[in-house]
Amino acid sequence: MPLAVRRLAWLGTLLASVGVAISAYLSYEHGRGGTTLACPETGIVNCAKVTESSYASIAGVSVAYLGLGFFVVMTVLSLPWAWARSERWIHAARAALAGSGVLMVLWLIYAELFGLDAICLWCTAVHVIAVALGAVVAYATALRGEPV
Amino acid sequence: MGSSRAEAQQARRRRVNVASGATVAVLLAIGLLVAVKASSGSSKNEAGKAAGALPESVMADLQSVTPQQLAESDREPVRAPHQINASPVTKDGKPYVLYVGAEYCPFCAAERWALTLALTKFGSFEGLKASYSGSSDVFPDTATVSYYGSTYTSDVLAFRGLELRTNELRNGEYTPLEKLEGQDLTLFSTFNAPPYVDGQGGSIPWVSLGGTFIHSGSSFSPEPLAGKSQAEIAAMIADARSPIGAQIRSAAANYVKVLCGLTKGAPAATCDPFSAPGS
Repeated sequence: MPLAVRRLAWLGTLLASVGVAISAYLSYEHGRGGTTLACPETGIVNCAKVTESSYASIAGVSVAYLGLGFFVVMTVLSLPWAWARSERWIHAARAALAGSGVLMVLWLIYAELFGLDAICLWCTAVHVIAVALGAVVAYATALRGEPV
Repeated sequence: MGSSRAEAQQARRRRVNVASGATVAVLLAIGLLVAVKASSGSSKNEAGKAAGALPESVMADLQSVTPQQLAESDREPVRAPHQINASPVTKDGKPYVLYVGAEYCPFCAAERWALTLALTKFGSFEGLKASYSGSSDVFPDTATVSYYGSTYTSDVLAFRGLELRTNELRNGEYTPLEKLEGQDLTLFSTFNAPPYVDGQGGSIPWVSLGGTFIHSGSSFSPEPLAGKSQAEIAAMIADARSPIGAQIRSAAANYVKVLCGLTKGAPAATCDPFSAPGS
């Protein structure tokens, strides 16, 4: 495995691990009742409004839980060990998952800005990580050289 | 051999270009969303459910709950005020209770029921109006009372309820209503921040009880109040069998216990049941 891919693999693992930590916190908040039972003093930064909205679940499953699952799987698939494997399905799954994560982020940003008029800072942190992870996977896949 | 190596390098360069193009496209898409939002601003306007007169039954129901009943309330798992290491704050020689909230805020809507119930055991309100939380926020249109324009009279406590914003959205922001100033602003900015509250601070509702106890956020979730009118909620508070009423009574009992400590047990009719063993 080329050195650049190995480095990107570690970077991807780090990003996905941070994603696990933040989405675990959001899942915990969701599980214990959803909010800190408080409003922001102004209006635009309003986590409760975002995490309790109709956009915050897909087919009845909370986006927080989906995000946690996404980052847990991505952490495993981003390990240098996974990048060194020869099975094509591992690399195809990683690329597909990273791509769908980025598309999901675009949809959620649209929902926050235009559907809800509110932003959740924790969610924004997750969005940044998912997009960065998508870029890392894209570059590492390109440098690895094998077709996915 | 040399040409196949060159081909491999070319193919690799192509793949890297594709990866770069995809990354740039995603960043451009995000930038476009943010730019469109920033240039159009938020034009969202929403009147919010209009405030109105409070049905007479509401205050009658709150007053019908005796201190004894409050002291004996089932202990529901609600959040309670906590003590802080700070100097007592008084007004006109009486412990000063400061509530800071906003009409749009559903958590303020829930908390006002508990705080109002508690305060009616120490004095009386004039001019409370029926109000609702914002229609497009979480727990929309939660029925409540507003402290805006009301007065509170008590021999043992001084109280001020500040509503910073209405429930009306104008250009995506709830319109300002009352302003924090002077001592109230100092209290809010000092003690609605770490380490006195969880998180970053600055959230509402926030209550200072005599300067030595604070409560940040609501004691319970507004969820069970959904779809209920002020009269229905007040009736549940007065109904000893209502589980929703029990939550609100428990939250109010937590306030009364703290306030009785501040007033040194006055008035006795309110505080004596709370000093009984087992209360």
